[in-house]
Amino acid sequence: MSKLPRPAVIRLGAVASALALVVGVALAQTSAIDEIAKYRAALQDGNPAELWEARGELLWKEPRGPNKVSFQKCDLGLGPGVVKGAYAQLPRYFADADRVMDLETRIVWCMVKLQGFTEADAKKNPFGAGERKADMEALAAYVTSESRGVKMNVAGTHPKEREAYRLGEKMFWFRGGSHDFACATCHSADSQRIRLQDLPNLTKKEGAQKGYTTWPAYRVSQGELRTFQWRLYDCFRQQRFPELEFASDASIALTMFLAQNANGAAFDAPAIKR
Amino acid sequence: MTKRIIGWAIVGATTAIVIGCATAPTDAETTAKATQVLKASFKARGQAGMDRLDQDETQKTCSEYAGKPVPKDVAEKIEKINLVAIK
Repeated sequence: MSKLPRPAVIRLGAVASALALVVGVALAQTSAIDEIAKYRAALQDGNPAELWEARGELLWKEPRGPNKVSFQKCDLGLGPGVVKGAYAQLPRYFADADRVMDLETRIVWCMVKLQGFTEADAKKNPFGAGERKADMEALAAYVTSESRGVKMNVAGTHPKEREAYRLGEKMFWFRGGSHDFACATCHSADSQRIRLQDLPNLTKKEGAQKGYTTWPAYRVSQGELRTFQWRLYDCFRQQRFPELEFASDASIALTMFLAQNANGAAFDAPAIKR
Repeated sequence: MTKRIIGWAIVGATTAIVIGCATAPTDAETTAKATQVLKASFKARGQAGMDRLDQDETQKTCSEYAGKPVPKDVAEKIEKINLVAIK
């Protein structure tokens, strides 16, 4: 060491310190991610989403609306009343509506066509807040729970399904708003995070599968079960876009893009998140 | 007979390709439709007006490249536009 000139020693010291700092930050980051994973695993025991699932099942089977009929004739794509595995194949094209629908849009359709609600009433209050619980979130919790463990298999074979996918992909990359954001801003790179929440890289198969198959989810921080429609609604709010309309065509197209990219993965929701 | 079958198969395949090409929308058409659908799917809320969905040239260009590398001349053009915008 004494043979080295003084500036070289200083440079070596600086390099070593910088290296130690970088390694330290990387280790701290890994450690934080591990701890968050442990926290989530601990929460899995006794997920309050079960309460929404149970209420949703009652709502599904109960005669409701002006026509006093249940959802048991509602066709989610696998035949009237078939709930098991239906969510893993949504969104899809429905010939009776001549359009592509996601789960919530199809529930609205059944509420209008079978139960006799007006469309405005069926779309009212899609997201719960405090004492005001949303029937839509409960119904979505029940239906999605019936696909737990089922492999995602969104076909994308009908021309309208293919169109929805292409539009959804364009929307994913659409930059706008006061902060020049796109979905891709947060979801097209690895290891991104907002506070404690990992942001999956939705441009990769693994990220798309992990991101899509864990919604709906019970949000501990909100005390509510949140659907995929809510996920999109709140992402756009955070992007400072105007308000995304519930069950709108853009929401369905984006869902089609993300759901189809998750094909092959076992559906694993309702989950629980921070 | 075999020749005739092959002939018909070629005609069929060619027709399918021609129809497919004729009906598949171009990228520009898909972009235009996506923008139109987006605008019809949002509503103004508070200070977040619908004008936030109007893209400037930089946003349009960056959206179009969808994460792929932007060619040098295009990148230079974007840089120039945005340098001018700095007051």
